[in-house]
Amino acid sequence: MLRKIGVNTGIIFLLFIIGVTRLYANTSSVDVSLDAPRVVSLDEQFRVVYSVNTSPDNFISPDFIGFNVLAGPSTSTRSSVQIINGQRTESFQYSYTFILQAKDIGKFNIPSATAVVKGKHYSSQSKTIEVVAASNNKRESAADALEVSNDDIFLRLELNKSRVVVGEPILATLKLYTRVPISGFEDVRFPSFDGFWSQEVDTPQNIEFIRESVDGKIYEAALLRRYVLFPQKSGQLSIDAAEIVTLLRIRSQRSSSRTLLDDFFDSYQTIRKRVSSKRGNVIVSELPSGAPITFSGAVGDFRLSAKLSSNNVVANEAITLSVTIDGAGNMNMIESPVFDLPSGFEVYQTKVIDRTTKGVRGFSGSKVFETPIIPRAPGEYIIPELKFSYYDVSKRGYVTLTTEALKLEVSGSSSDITSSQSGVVSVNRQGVRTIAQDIRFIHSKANLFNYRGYFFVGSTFFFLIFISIILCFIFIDRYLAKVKARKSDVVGIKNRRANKVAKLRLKQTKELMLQRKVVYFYEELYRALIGYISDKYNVSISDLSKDRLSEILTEKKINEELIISILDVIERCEMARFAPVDDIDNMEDIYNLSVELISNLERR
Amino acid sequence: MKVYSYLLILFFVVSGVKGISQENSRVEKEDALVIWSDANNRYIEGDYQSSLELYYSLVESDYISASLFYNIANCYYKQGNISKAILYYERSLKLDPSNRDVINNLSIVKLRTTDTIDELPEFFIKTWVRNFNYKFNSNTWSYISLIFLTLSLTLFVLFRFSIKSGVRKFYFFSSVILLCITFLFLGFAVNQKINYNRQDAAIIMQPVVTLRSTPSNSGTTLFILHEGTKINIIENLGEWSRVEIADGRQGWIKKSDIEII
Repeated sequence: MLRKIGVNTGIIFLLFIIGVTRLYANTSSVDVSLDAPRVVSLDEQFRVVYSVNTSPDNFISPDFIGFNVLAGPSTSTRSSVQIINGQRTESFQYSYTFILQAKDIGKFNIPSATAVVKGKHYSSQSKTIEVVAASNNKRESAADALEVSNDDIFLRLELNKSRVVVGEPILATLKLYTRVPISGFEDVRFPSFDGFWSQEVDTPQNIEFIRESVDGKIYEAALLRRYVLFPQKSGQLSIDAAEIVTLLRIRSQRSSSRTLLDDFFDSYQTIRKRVSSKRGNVIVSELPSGAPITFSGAVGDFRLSAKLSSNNVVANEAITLSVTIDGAGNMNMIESPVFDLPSGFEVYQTKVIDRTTKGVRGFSGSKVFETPIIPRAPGEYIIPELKFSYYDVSKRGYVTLTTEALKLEVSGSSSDITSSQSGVVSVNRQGVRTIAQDIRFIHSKANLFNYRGYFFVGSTFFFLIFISIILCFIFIDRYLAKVKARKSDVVGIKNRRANKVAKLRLKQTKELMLQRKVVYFYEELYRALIGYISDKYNVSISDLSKDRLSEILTEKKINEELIISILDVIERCEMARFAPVDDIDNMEDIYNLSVELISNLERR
Repeated sequence: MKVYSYLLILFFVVSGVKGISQENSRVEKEDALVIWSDANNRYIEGDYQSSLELYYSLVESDYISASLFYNIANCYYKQGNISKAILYYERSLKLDPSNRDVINNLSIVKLRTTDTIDELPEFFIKTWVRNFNYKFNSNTWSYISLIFLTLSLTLFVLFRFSIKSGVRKFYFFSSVILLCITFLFLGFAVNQKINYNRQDAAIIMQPVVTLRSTPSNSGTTLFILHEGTKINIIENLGEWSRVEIADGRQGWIKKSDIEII
């Protein structure tokens, strides 16, 4: 009787839940669902409900193997109409309920059932049920005895990994297992996760209990919290225990005055019980050495891409460089890869668009780094490739991702060239900034090679050349001086030659004079003079009378004085031939005069 | 005829001297240029140590030039050896005091030395003259002065054998001026040689050096200098040198602590 009431209320509750979940279902499609507990004990009577969201024409019951069908199928219908903000939703539920009991311990299959709607067959899913040994007696007694052991209720912190590297995400699940009814919680203390960067993933608003079997016993399990943990340091890290004070609703011990009513109305009493989880231990190993320079602590599995909002832009117009990293891991730690822009760009602050979601693998999704840049000068630029390194947990090694180099064409800005409306050309002028100071580059030209300590200026070679130049010029000077001296004495040369000729002609005469042969002397002198003149002016000696002589000499423009003295000498010679005067002075005198006369003639 | 034969003998003597001097060099000029460009490439790649070794092999083969010392200094600077870098910049400046690259780099490297000494500014004409002096190296000045000597003597001969008095005057004065220039340039060449052979400046190579009042370790400590500081040597006495720093202070320093430029 008592159980019947419990079952009825259970059905109502169940239907309500199903009703809520079905509320938004599309009524036009037929759906057959199966509802059954996950874990049952051997002697437990449990219900299996197949629900159809329309009224089926026929229902084909399944064959339950390994179960005793105690009752069913019993049918029930439920319909609801809801109007929320003018929207009308209808739901309809047609349920077939079986009450089963397991025959043996183990895992059994609840088969699928088929509903026929308008001639079509719709099947539900099948479900596996775990049957565990009966422990009903103990549970009853425990509840009765006001003693709740640690076996009846406990907290458990489950970690999906126990050995990780720094930065590798761990999923920690805090669950409460109970076999006694709980009426509430007090003084909940969650672990502080020292040494980890923790992030709550699941924070259920309503605590739902789901049957689970632990060591062959059936518990009602509830998920309290789920965390993603990122170890921040290496070593053995422990997670301190979670603690919770539960309010348990326990049937009170039967009082001594046992009345009839006691059988119908059990009296319950609430007791407090503190439960705590065990400390968790995680061994965190250091990241292996040999990390690339671009590594900044990212652990997980990532992809990298970069693009410009436009590859063709006018100078002074802003463009956006977007770097996208997507994947899973400790995305919260990832920062924008550093990029080296060519000079002539103005770079503004990077905006981070975080599209990550917390989950089992840490953060997954994508992170976009948008950097506005303004090219200030036209030209073709190449934005060098970006590099991003991370530690790949599955490959146990570092991976470096590289984007392609981006090409950017900047055309001349129109505002630079054309003048503004006022007619004033404004160009943005600025001083040249020094970015860094370094020594100048080495000399590449080897033009100054020299031998150590060799100086031309003091060497013997130098002195030899110096002296030889001076000697050369002294020699040249001497030579030129001689040449000049000869050139300047032309008259002297003529005189000397004329004298020479005269003396040659009068050579014999001079000998005769020294021998004092007077007659021969004058004869010879006469002949020499006449001979000279005839040779000189090309006339025969026989033609030369005194008159003829003076005529010829006048013709040759010899001055008169000279002619007279020539004629005088000739006359004196003729006279002396006939009347010789032995006078040595006379002879010398006339000789010298003749030399002079011939010389004078010769000079002309 | 006699003079011609003298000149002929002179020519043979000169070419003989030249031949001897060429035989003395251990590395041929072509090989030296290969080593030079190899060392430069190593420097570009950032392998300063092997670059330095190659430059040193040139120095050991008695090759010197301002550029060679400049490159060695750059190598030392890139390796962080400030005192050696300054030493070689100064050696480079000794060969070419007006080289702007060397002056620039030396001023950058000097920023990393500890000692700051106020140096008296140089009279600007002195700087000009020196800069002009080092426009060419000593040997080039020697050649130029020989050319000017020839020109001057030619003009003098022309003066002696020309007749018109105006032309004669011109020849005479230009000859005299050219002779003056010859001796000026010869002076430049000699000046460079004298400066090169001077051994009166040094760089402190030890990180910290104490200057004492007497040439012994027991002398009173006058002041302390740090590596890279330039000093002038006044006199030497055994293991010690009396030195003067740029502001005029003097002291005794161990020879092993300094290296002469």
